[in-house]
Amino acid sequence: MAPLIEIKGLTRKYRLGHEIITAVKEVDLSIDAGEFICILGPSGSGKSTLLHMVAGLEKPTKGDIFVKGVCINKIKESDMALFRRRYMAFIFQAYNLVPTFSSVENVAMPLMFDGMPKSRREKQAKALLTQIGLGQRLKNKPTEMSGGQQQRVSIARALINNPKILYADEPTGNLDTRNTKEIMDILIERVREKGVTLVMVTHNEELTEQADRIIYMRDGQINKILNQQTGEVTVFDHTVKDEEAQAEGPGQNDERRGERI
Amino acid sequence: MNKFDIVRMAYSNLFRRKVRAILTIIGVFIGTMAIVVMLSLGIGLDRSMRANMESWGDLNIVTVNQGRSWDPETGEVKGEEQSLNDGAVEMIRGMAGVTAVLPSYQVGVSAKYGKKEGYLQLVGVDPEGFSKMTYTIAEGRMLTEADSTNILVGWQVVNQFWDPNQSYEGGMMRGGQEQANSLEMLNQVVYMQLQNNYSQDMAPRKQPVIVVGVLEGEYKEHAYSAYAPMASVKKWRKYINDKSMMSQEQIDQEAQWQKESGMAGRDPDAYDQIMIRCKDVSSARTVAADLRDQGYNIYAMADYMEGIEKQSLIIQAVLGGIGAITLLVASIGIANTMVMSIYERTREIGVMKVIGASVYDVRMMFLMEAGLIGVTGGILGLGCSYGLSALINHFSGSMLNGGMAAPGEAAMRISVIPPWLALFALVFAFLIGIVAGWYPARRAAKLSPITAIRNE
Repeated sequence: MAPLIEIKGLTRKYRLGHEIITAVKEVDLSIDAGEFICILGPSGSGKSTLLHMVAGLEKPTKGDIFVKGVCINKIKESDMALFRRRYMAFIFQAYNLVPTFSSVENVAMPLMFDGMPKSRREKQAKALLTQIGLGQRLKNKPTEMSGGQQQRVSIARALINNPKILYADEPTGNLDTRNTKEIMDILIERVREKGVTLVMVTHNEELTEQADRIIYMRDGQINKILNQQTGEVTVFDHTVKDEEAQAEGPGQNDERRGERI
Repeated sequence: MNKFDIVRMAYSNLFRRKVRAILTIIGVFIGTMAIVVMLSLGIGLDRSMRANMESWGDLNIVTVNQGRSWDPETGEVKGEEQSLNDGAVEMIRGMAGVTAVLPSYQVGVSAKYGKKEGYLQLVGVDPEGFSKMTYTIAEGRMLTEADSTNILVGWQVVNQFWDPNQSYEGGMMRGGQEQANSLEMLNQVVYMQLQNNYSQDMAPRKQPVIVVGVLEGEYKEHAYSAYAPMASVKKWRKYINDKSMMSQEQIDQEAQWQKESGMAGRDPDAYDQIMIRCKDVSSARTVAADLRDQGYNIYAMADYMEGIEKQSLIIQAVLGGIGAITLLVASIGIANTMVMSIYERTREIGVMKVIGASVYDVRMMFLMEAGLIGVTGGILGLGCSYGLSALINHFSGSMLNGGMAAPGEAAMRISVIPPWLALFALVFAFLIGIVAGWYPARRAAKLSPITAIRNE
């Protein structure tokens, strides 16, 4: 079976002032449907950038991402909107709810963009919020709720479309232990019971316990992949490639010098 | 995203910053009011000028008289005189835009009406053709084919008769008092005094005629004329112009005079006048110009319309321009408000895109918000324009009409808001909003989701 997500030679460079920073460097990865993947790494390792690219929120400098066989970095923006609505959802560390909307309205928003009438979509949103224990908070605005409650609203918003893939960027980063456990339980239940694929970025090793695979990142590259089901560890050695790159460097400089003379 | 949700989102977003939204709306409100009131003044002016012209004569009517063609602007006479015969009538009937043609003979005769003496300007017309012109009967009836000694009179004809035994001021000029009108002549007999032009010694022949109708139109050109069947007028005219009793001396004199005036070749049976009714003012104008080029002596009210139209167009352009500038300033206000609100909501736009809003959805939400500002300001502005317009008319009306309107005439209004102007103002205000919102909406729609979310 072909993998659900396939990443090939993915590179992302930023311009920071006069410097060019390579956040993600030549990453290859395949993810199967129903997998729970954790991307683990220190801050600045490029894990968030990688997640954003896979979720189609930013374009890679080089390389391709295939989701369900569709190359998402090359499709039109309007098709991408449809693709997001139908297949994937994103959970942020900072919840990112619309401050003027109530919980129900926030959760119903993806369905609104899909053109569903107000009464129907809000009925669905209420049902989902009640299911995850927020039945008492339907009419509240985000500012009237705790962080844990806000994150649960944001998860409900992500789940309302029944997405096939869930992307989560440090979803528990702002929460205490009790709330963290509750949030993780909701997410993992989705993976195990509904066959949703979950790709989660974190720097908290405790959260990786139930993951199928853990991907360790450092300096924009994948260092190690740990398959927790088989116990298999794959280690990537990038030193060879880097040496090659360094070997090329002076050569180019020589050429330039040659031109100047 | 369905249209209803777009409007709902735009509405709730607009009033998140109430003061700012209201201030921007006030800008559009003032702009719309300025443009509507200014244009209403221009339209009112145009209408009153037109109404004035129409009280003098029908704008769709072109009159062809005997004589040579002349330019209405310079008065310059040119070309050869054309004969007003049946051939000319047929030619005119075939012209584009002509709906009726009325050739006529004219003759002026002394007449007696009761004890009063006076003068009748008689116009001989074909009754059927006459009824196709724009004349309307105030009282009585139109002429028919069966009439021969029945006439119609214009509104002022009665004022051309006076009692020779009374002082002058008692008759024609009763200044200040209500003027007499021809309605009193209805069904009365008028005795015409047909006097042969060439034998003044002979006693005039008396010809009684009965007034069967009075024409409407107090101050129009035809108010001073009387209308009779063509055959009768032709007969009377022939009697007046009969040359059989002329002396040799008179014949010589006549020949000499005709030679000097250049009227030698005039056909004695040619009509004195041909009246042409046209479909509208513009065709009246082209028909008049056409016939003038062919050498006819043309008089058309429509010719004087052109200058007035040009003038009122300039006035309207100036007034509308002042209003438009105000609305333009308001539109910059809209653009400013929208740019500000996009700055504030950058992060939110990013989130919406991540959860599935398309470029189209985002653009439509912001365009609709800008359009809402425009249309809300437009509705308020239009409402107040009606009030302001009524106020202007109230105060200027009492000044212009001396406190009261002339009887039977609508009070002169200097500010008029026709339905098209109201509709135009609303559509324009909405469009101004859309245009002003175009750039900000485009900017919002183009935001990359992740940059928008990182923005803090």
